[in-house]
Amino acid sequence: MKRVLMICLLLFGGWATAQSIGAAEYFIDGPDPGVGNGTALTINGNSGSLIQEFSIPTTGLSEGFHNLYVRTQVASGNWSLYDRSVFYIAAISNVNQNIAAAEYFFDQDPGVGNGTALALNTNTGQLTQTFAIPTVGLTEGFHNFYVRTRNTDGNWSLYDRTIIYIGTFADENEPITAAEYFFDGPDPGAGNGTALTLDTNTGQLTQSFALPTDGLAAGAHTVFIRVRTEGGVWSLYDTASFTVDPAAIDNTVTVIENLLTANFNATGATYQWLDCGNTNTVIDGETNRSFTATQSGTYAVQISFNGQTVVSNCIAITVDSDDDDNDGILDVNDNCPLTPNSDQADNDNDGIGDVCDDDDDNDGILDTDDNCPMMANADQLDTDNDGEGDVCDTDDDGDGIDDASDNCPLTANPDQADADNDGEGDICDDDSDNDGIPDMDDLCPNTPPDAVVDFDGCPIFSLPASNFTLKTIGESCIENNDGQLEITAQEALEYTATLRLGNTDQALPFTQELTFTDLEAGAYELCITIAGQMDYEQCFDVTIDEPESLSATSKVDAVAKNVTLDLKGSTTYFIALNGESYRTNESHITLPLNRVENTLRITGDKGCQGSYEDIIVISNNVMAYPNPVVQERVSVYLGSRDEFQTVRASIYSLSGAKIMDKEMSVKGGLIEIGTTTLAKGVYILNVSNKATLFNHKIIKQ
Amino acid sequence: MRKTTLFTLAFLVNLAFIYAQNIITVDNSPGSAAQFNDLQSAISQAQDGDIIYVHPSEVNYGVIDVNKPLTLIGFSHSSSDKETAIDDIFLRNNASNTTIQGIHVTDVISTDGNSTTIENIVIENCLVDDGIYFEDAGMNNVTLRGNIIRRVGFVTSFAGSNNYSNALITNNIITDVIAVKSFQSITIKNNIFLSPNAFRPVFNANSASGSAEIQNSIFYFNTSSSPDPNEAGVTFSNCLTFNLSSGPVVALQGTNNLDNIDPLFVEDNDNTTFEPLQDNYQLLGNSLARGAGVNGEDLGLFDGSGFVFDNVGFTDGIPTINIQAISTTVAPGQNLNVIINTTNQ
Repeated sequence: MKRVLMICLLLFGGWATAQSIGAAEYFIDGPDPGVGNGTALTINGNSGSLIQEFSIPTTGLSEGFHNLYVRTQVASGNWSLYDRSVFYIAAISNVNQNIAAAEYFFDQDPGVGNGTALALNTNTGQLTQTFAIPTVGLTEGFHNFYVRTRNTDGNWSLYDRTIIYIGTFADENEPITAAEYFFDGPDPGAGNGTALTLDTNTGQLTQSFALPTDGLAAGAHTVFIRVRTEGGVWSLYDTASFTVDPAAIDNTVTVIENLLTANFNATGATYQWLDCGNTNTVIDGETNRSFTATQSGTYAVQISFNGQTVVSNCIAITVDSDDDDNDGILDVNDNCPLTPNSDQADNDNDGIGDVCDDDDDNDGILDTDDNCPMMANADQLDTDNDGEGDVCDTDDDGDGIDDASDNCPLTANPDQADADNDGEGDICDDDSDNDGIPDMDDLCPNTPPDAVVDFDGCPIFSLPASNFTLKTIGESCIENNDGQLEITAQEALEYTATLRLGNTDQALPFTQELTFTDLEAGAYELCITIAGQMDYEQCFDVTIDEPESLSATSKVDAVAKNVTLDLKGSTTYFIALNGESYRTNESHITLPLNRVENTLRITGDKGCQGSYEDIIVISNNVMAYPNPVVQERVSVYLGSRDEFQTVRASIYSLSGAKIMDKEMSVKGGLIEIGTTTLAKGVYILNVSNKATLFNHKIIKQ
Repeated sequence: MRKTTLFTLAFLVNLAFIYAQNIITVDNSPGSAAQFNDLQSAISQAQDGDIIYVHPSEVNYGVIDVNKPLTLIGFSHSSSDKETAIDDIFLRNNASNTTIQGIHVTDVISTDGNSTTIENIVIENCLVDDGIYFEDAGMNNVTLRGNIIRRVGFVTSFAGSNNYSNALITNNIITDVIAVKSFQSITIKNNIFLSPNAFRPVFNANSASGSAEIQNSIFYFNTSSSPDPNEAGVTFSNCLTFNLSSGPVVALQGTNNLDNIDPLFVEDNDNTTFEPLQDNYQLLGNSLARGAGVNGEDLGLFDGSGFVFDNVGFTDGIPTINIQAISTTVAPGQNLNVIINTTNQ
């Protein structure tokens, strides 16, 4: 694989006569082959200053650190000293390599590569996939599931883990197969009561029982009943109280066909009939001693009298039905009571079954006259006059092609011709060349596919959107006005490029490549026209950038005695602090403050970006500086005390006259007091707040 | 010889997890015929692995200590006419492999004072008025499912109440907060936070180490302020927020969340208080929370996983029985007519 190192060089002719740079060479790591013996670089034309990007092969270099040395030669033959930069050769993992394998395990890691393999979908290094993992053999309870993957390099991921709980959900349709009861207690324990026989059920059951009370003494008693599922799970019990009374209510019922009558008859007794077959639901309004069943079912009566309540056995009643057509549907429910139709089909949902409905689709056309009797089509439209209405005709135009696949379903075209392949058959296609202009308005009805056409449907000149490639190079420094715009055209033609900034523009001809140079920063409009193509113009918005100015903010930690700098505007920063020099590519750096008064200066890698300078004072003592003062102001450092937010600053002459007095905000432990109006001499500076007072002597020179 | 030793060891290990599973009945209601009237006495007499049926009663069973592997099953926490209520349940040092189902805990479930981490704890279909607190040695391997709980763990001041790991917190209604510490091993999914803490419904006491992920859950507020469920160390995936009152909910941090969208419950009785006999937190057919989960499942309590949330707390797999009608008075020797209604849950 060919490897290259991309570098961008800023080359200057280093002398006042501004000779052009005529040659450049490089070597890697050394030893220095000697001036003129390096590998030559081809450089652009220049006038003594050059910025150019090179692509330097690194084939054969081992992985690790290396040094690149570059030097240049001016036209007179003199070589520069070389510049050097370190770079690092490293193999980069391909992030798009496939996830090639996956494995999982439960609870105990069998070792990487020893889990149960999972089949993965095809991928390019990223995969989301769902798996059904068998849990056969896992005991009920908590388990941990682990999964990891491997890439095509053979590197395994760390595993991911989640906890799972293995358990079975109850089947609510599981039958309830056993019941038992006991009177009064003590509880003999689940399974040890008196068994009851239950009806067949699917997990829900209402059933009545007649429990013998033999042996129970007269008086109050409690019955306890519980049930058990087919799987053997017992319910909690339910209880009810009752009384054994020699004068109890008769709870028997006399049945004559579908008339049920309670045998107990006493003034003040109340009756409520119950539908045993419907979860013992109360039958509304049936509160007389007798009850006539209108439907087959099982019924019981609940009788209350003098504080007692009894319930009869459930009694099965069969009621004759009236079903004239004998189709299993009672006449009152039958949508066609005199014609058998057990399916009760009613196509138009009009309440009349189809077998006795003479207009099954309810479209107002009798079925005998309807060309589509089961689908409403009052218009009876039948395009191919085949006697079958369009709404139920699968081939409306009768051309032998089903409507679903017919490219012109209402006009017969058995050949399915479709010249422009737009899915619409030619016979019903009003734009046969598919250029967006209907044939009736198209002066060029056979325009080739993908051609750009005018309003008449005729081809016009165009170029692909990718014909032009633009590359901008920003200003090397603020106000250098040396930005560039490079234009490359794929197709060689006689172009004119007009570059406009505000009201100023410049136009240059070119055939395939063009470079605008010496551009100031700004937002330009670039428009390109072609000789002979009056209607063609393509415009672009182009921005020429300029570098940021250097800026820095400092945060002083007076306790730790350091300063943290946030830097912007340059790639490399050169910091001079108290005579020590630092170089950093970081935008955030913390440096020690070893003095009370620390001098800081920061510059970037371009001299034109200016510098940042500051004096940082670290002291718990109040001090004023410079002192003596010859400048416009004196700075008063109040120490690292937090209590200072505002102070009152006053200046007195030695004779006691107050010359200045004002409330001032403290910023960064400092206040600054103007001294322009002070005459030369000695003064007393007084700084105070509610808690503290300081006096300092200052000298104005 | 070595083979014999290994076989014997394996046999003993298996024995340790085979319990007798007797059913013991407890009922403290007046006139009860159960085997025990006092729950703590029943626990004292029970063998490891026994099942204790705690029958419904108008009298709270009080404060109990569980100090052995047991299954406590109540009738329900919110049935219309009867419930099983226990004030406090303290799971002591030897309470590993304990299951609690269908009980209204009127105060707390707690591991307060334990020196041993108890394991394999299942709490299902319970209503916990105050909270479940994993204090001191706490718990490992925990399932909280189908419950209505005010607090799971505790925020900041009692960070020691969050000593639990390897937990599945799913299909619950949370009315205040879930607090976690060992967040990497805790799954919080398909819960409804019903009028929870408006600014901290989920708290991560270990947020400096990473984020707890909340999935498929619905945050349902009713406050005039503007709730903000976001919290350091907590992210939300495929969750939904809604405020029944006026203030919009701050957008959730995470992915695929539905912010400020009515989940369209079948019935919430027009407020955000849990009313078991009226509310139905299933989703209407046109709810955007349908199919919006991380794997296309529904958000909230009903995720189609097989577990079905029960409003009143009937225990899954335990049938219920109700004596629907009975002759209150019978003549001596006459049959006692009784109609039962029983349903497998």
